[in-house]
Amino acid sequence: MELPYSLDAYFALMAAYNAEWLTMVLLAGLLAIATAALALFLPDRAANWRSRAIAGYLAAAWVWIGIVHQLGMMADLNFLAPVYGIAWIGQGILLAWTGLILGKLKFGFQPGLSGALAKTLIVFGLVIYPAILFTLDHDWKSLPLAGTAPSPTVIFTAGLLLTTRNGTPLSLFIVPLAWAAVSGLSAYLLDHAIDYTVSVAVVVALSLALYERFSKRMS
Amino acid sequence: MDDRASNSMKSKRVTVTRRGLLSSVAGLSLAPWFGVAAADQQAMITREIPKSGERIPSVGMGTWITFNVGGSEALRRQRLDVLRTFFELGGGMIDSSPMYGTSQEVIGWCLKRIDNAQRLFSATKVWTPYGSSAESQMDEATTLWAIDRFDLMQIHNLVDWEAHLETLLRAKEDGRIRYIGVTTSHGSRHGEMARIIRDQPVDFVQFTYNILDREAEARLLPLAQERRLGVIINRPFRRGHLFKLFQHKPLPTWAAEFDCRNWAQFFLKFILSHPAVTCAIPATSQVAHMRENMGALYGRLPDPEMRRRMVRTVEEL
Repeated sequence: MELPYSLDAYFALMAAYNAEWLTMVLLAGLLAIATAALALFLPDRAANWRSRAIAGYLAAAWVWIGIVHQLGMMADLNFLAPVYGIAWIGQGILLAWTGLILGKLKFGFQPGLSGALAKTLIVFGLVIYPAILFTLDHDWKSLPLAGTAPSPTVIFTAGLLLTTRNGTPLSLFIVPLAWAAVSGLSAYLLDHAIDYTVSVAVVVALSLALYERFSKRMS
Repeated sequence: MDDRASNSMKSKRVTVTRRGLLSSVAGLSLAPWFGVAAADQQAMITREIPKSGERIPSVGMGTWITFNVGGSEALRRQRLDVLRTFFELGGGMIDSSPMYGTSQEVIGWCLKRIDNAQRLFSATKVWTPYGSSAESQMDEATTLWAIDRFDLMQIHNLVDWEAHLETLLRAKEDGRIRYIGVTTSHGSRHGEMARIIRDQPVDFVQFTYNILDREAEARLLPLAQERRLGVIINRPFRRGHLFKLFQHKPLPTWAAEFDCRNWAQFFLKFILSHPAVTCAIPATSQVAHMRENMGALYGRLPDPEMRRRMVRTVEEL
């Protein structure tokens, strides 16, 4: 089995994508940092608007990536990109519905294993993932960034979902889990090991979410 | 292998047409560029398309992955160099598909910038897994390649072949395409392919065959030869896997007996030395690799005994 494109072609397209949407890339990056700060540092009394803002940002990011990155850019390279694009848009709509409209997601840092893991994944998606690519000699202009590119956004999202205080609806893990499989396969086929981290991030976050849900039921 | 095979495995001489003469002269003068010694220089190896008698160079070029580079000017210019080298060294058939992303668009972009593409034998496919129209795909491909019509239109991986065959037959009747073919790869669906070869009015078939993947020798190759079909071979290097297996091993010294200078020519000449094969279509994004590949278009081909020796050697290695 093979992907219909090479790593060179993907990163050439990413450089063109980042250049064409530079303002959005920078804005999404800044908003991602603000979102991370909201989730990790603000006190409880601000919980309601904070959680809706975080959910709104995530929803916008997933929809953007679905429409512009997958349907707009990747569809040229990969005949499966339209399918992926629809899935990303669907996840964005689900995040908007669950978190922004219904207000069912309560984000906020909690000490303990899930808090530590959440921080790790959020920082990894925001900073470490692109930094690793940079050290692997990828042009900085082609770096995929959280908010506008799939892999770091999935890792970032997994981290944020781990900060939800009332448990994350498992439906919000369906598309990320599917993308984890896609990423793992791409990592293997393109010999691009860093994308295994996407799979690991989602699987670990989902496992911990399931464990915490199970623990609450038992207690 | 039977006697017909041994008699057919001598190097073919180019038919004396203006195109053929130019090809031969170009081939002779360029042969040293890819390691064919002066004593071994012969006419370019061409094969006859059985249904028409037309001859084409027996090494072409595939474009799966390698030409799918989107809008990147830098990567397109690299592919332009590859394509120029292909034509300079005698290449003809270029094979693509709508499944290959932007490959067709990039081919067209390159062809507009090449002056010596007269030997082009254009081959693409219809591929409609989501139910789109074969007619619209053919029209789009013609626009993307910036050509008037395709030499060969194939049904990709047998997807919806019964419906598409009718469309292609009509297009051939109307003169919009010259030949019709069907393709498969990865050694799959040989049974269905064999039935199509036996029963359907196609001119070409395309499938996988290489020195390690030789299943086609049992049925498809002899059947295609018997039915007088052109045979295009994909995955001649098993998508580069053959190089991973052998690149660090020394080329056998007896490979020089059939004017072979590197592993690419070793693998390609094995394929070309099968009498049923019309053209192999290795894909590459590197000029140096294109030079190596095109070296297989010149010099001698292995005879049946040498083919057996080649198989034994790679199996032992």
